[in-house]
Amino acid sequence: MKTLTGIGAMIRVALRRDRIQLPLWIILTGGFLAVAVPTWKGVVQTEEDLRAAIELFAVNPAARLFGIASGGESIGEFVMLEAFATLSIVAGLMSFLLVVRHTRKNEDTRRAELIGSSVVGRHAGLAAALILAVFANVLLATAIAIVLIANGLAVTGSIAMSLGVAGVGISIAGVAAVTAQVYSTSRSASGMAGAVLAAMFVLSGAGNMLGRYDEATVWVHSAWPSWLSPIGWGQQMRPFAENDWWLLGLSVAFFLVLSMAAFWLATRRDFGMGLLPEKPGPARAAPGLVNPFGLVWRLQRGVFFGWAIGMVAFGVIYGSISGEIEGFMAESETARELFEVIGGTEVMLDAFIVAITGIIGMLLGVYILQVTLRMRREEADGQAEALLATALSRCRWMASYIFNALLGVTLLLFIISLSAGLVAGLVLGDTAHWLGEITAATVVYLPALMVLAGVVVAVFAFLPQKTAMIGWSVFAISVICGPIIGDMLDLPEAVLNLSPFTHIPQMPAESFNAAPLLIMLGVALGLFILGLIFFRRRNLSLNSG
Amino acid sequence: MGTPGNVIKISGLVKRFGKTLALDEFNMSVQGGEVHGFLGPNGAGKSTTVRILLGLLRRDGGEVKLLGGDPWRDAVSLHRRLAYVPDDVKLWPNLTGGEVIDLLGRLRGGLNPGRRAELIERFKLDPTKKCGTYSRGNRQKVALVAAFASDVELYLMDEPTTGLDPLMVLTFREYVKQARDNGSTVLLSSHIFADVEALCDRLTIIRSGKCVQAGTLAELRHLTRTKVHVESEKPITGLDRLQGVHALEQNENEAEFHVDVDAIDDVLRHLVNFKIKALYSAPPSLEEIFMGHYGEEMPSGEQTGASEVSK
Repeated sequence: MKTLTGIGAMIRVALRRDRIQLPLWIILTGGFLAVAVPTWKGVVQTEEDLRAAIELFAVNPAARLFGIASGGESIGEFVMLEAFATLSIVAGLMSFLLVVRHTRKNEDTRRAELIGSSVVGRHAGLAAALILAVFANVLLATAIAIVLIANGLAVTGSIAMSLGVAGVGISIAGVAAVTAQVYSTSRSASGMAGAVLAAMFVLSGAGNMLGRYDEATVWVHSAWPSWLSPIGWGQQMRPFAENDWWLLGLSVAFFLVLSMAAFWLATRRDFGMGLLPEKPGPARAAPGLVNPFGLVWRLQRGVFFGWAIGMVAFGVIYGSISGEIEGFMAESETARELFEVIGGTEVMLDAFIVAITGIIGMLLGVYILQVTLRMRREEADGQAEALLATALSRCRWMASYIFNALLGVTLLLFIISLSAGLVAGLVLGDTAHWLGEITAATVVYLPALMVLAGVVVAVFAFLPQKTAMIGWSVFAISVICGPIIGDMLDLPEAVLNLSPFTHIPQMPAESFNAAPLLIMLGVALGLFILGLIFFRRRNLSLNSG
Repeated sequence: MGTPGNVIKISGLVKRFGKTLALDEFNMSVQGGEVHGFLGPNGAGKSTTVRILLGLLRRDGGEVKLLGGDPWRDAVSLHRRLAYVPDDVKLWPNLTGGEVIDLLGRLRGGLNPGRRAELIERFKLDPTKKCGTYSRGNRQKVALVAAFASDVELYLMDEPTTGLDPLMVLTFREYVKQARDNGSTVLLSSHIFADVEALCDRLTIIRSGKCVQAGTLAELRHLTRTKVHVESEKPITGLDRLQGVHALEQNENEAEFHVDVDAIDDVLRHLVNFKIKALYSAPPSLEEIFMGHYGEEMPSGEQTGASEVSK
């Protein structure tokens, strides 16, 4: 095994490089579950609640896209339904980013060249990355299992579920090991591994959607596409119900086969190259690219289309559930109380719309941050320097980010309104009414999102190095003190008022009120102007030189 | 297109970053139509000066005039008349080189399509490759093509040849000369003496934020000295009495010194008497020039950069 010489040292280097990143993935995932599981337990306190909640998602094919209960009616199965797909995607992201970081990325940055010239075997780097990926997934599974068991869920089921998540993680690690050999840049290698992860999600979801619900046994029989996906294998283990351990073997075998394939492919290519050459792009710029607004759009359109697809899917599910929401609330006392707190109304459908639009409205703050924080990244990395040394003024440069963020988020608000409104119209009848109702409830979030963009722009002008940190903190505080979590935590009024989201009229439960929206619009504009003026007056803050 | 008088006039320029004094009463003047070398070890303040000229950084004191305007206040209108090649260019990994050339050219106010094609050909750049896959030298070429394809009055270039292979450095020099022949002015910041020597009419040397020397190459003749290391069978004597020998260090059969170009012949004739076993000669590194000429140690932070010169 000469090709593995030096693997110990490689693992130590990789562990040291990831000493912050890896624990963060695991702690954040565990922390998310530690907050979410008690909340879910709060929603389904009685057997009737549980059955009603599980049925709500089981009868609706669109809702099955995001997951299925294992079968049966325990709280563990409800957690499976709510969390398994999300946790799988987290494990998948962590794994492929890790493998690409320690393989192809090393070659991109020429770090591997330095290492490769020392006493290190040809396969040591890849093997170290794969071992680290397995290790990370085992840690992640341990963290998940501990949180589940600590919350009183069945021990066997908790272990089965967490190993199911790890199974998805290592499967994707195997995929990334192969894409890292096939593609010649870490961007492409990660992009393809991410696409495979998305395909796994879609396959498992499609299998569940095409499956059949057996009302007597409260059991979703998934169709064949589920069996083509590691996420599907995890779900078909049916943790908390049947605990079919042999399905874990499929993930392990998948991982081993792909790893072997990656080792073989690594011997068939040159160092620093992929099996596939990078696809050439256009030699000339399209007319739409050569202005600052077009450039930002181009840099950022992939993120936008990802969100747009997500918004359409979320809208379809949310619209299609609206038909069953009244029945569900009639059966489940606790859910009704929860929605009354969040929605502030006893009209369940209205409360449901308030809750869902609130989640969407706040979630889109992430998109605002993704666009506006790019300003800081381009400044620190140096692209902004090259642009601002041309006849492009700082005001136009900054304005192009503001316009992109606001235009993008407005489009996303309308996309989800359209998809949810049309589907709700199909289910409930009277499309025009529901379309109007949902659109109004969603689009009113725009001024609060503008305030968030304004905060980032202003911070960027005054404290550039702290932009990302302050931006994300302000967003987190706004969400925690916002309408849903803030109401559930029963925070005092003064604290709730800190969040711009609190001041959004909760339509349709509340009536439209222009005053707070106009004030927020004014605040946002003020922050934009402040940012534009003071960015013009400061030094560029570059990382180098 | 030549601008008579000073294209760049800097006097008493001060720039601080927190407590560090990056530029300390720095002076420089660049005349219209010349190629002006801006020489100094890394960290001496070259990039800071160029960024102040571009209005990217704000000066803390002193006067700066660029193309007759104020680089901070008139940034946008001045940028139409100049092209900038940054040190270690960072580009957008998912745009192609060709797209970036068009983008930068257009934002600067347009580029000459014929020249663009010619430059891409001459620099052997594949414009269809994504910037993320370019080596540093190729990224440098993208910035150079974008700059030379614009007809501007002034080129500001910060370490433009780093990462280019020797053949491409020759191509680069050709285009700098062409720009000067067309009446443009070039400010060429570098720590590579050979570039400056080959191209520049006049130069300014910066060290620790101060201008330590400025003038034509002939005036700064000591910069073109040759460093000689010699070993012989017989003990070497009499070197210290020869004209044009500087910074001499020797023991019995070994000597190291700098020699003026016009004294090389005399010195070699003298050395032959001692039965030479080995002889090395090279241009002195910036670091050695500074040490030899100013008789004090360089701050340690600057040595790493300066040592690249001796390659």
